[in-house]
Amino acid sequence: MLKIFCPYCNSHLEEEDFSYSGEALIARPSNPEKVSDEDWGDYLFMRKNPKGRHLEQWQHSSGCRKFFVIERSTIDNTIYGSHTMKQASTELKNEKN
Amino acid sequence: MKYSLLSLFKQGLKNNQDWPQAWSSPKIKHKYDVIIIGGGGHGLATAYYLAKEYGIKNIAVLEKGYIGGGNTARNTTIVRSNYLWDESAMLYQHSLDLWGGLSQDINYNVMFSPRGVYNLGHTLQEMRDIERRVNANVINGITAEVVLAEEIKRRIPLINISKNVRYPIMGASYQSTGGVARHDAVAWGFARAAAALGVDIIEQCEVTGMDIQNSTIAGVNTTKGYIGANQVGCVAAGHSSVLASMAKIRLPIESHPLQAFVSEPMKAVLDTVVMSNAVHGYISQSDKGDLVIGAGIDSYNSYSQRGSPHVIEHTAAAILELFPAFSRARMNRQWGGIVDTTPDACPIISKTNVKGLYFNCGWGTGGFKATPGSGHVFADTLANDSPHKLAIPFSIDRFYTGHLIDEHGAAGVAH
Repeated sequence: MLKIFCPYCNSHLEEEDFSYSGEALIARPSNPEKVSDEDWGDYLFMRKNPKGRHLEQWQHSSGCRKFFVIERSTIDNTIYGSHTMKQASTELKNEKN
Repeated sequence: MKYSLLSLFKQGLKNNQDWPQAWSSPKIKHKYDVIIIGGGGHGLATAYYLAKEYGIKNIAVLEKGYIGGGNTARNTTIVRSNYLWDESAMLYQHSLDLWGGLSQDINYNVMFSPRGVYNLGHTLQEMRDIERRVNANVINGITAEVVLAEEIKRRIPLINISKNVRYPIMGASYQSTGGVARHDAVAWGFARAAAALGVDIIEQCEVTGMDIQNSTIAGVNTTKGYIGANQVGCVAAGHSSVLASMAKIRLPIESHPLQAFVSEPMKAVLDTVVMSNAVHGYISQSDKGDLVIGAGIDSYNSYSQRGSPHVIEHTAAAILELFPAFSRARMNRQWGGIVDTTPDACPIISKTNVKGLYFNCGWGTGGFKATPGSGHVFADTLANDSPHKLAIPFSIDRFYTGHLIDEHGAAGVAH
């Protein structure tokens, strides 16, 4: 059972209070009508799916219902940090490879 | 050595001390015609069919752990072909056709038992979906029929068709030609048969990098050194993205835990397979007597081969609503695998933009049933450097054209 920290509610809570929402920091193309099929397909479907540290979205569905980003190891579930969407998109984006 | 009544007798006279090894640990060659990365059921089946039907001599299967130790060891052994769309249904039916003669073909008892599979419907919409799926199957010549609750109860005495539950059973689709098989035996059987045809099975050999020159595969770096190859087929299930990134290829795959558990062995109480989407879980009873139970994936990405306990609780609750008699059964063992799920719950069998590099992955929660079919179709694709006709709809291109093949309903495992 993962213990997850909601950065809005400021509490460590159990996994069952949250919903998973996949890889974080995927930018939606600003001009969907103009992008190629390849770029649109990449945005919709292709994922990093790393074996290791993963930046991912969770929603506090049983609580504040906001989305946030955590960095978690997909190998041993160590959680390295919990960030609001705003923090994630400004601070983490620069480190994202 | 051929397994037979005669060899059983002769070996028995020697007190069973003289059975030859089912496969050996050969010295790794510097270069192979074909390297298969992934020594699970699909990879070993691919190697076998490549050697048997296409006469390719110089094949290696590289497995980072022990063969069949990944998802092949961790599934709930269900075999069926009752999928909705023509493309997928024909692929799974091809596999089901191969299951029938597999033990004879590879001279190894894979214990394929066509004891039937029920997919239960608990709501009006589910029954409509079931009718649609059964009709689609029948049109495609695939065995399927609709059964209603009373008939299900007559055939499965322990099942609960009471109306006093949250989602009462209304009926089910029934595929009499589906059933179960012994997962380990499939891996070992294909390994033995492939080895007998000259395939090198290399265990404890993890691929750490790919050597690509001028958009063409030249070989792989492994924990046991560099190995050259003309063709490389990746069949590594949950680790497909790891391999793909070595070739700078992106896949529409997410790796999730899929948990399962078994009870203590008991007398025969369930002689068929029962699956429910609404009350989510699926169950059968192995020939050893244990109830084999599974349900949906854990929601988060993971390579840990374990999941969260609440998933097990929900699974048990679902099974007990269907089979109240099992409430006292003690569970013996619980584990998880790494399932490579795709957006449309259908596999990816594809060439890539690297010449000589192919991927067979994305079988997600439903790979075991496809083991022989997947291997056969992928072997054909490798041998001809062109997708087998059953594989064409499952090219990675469908994620760019938008022609997804949505089998979430028939997949029977919540994503």
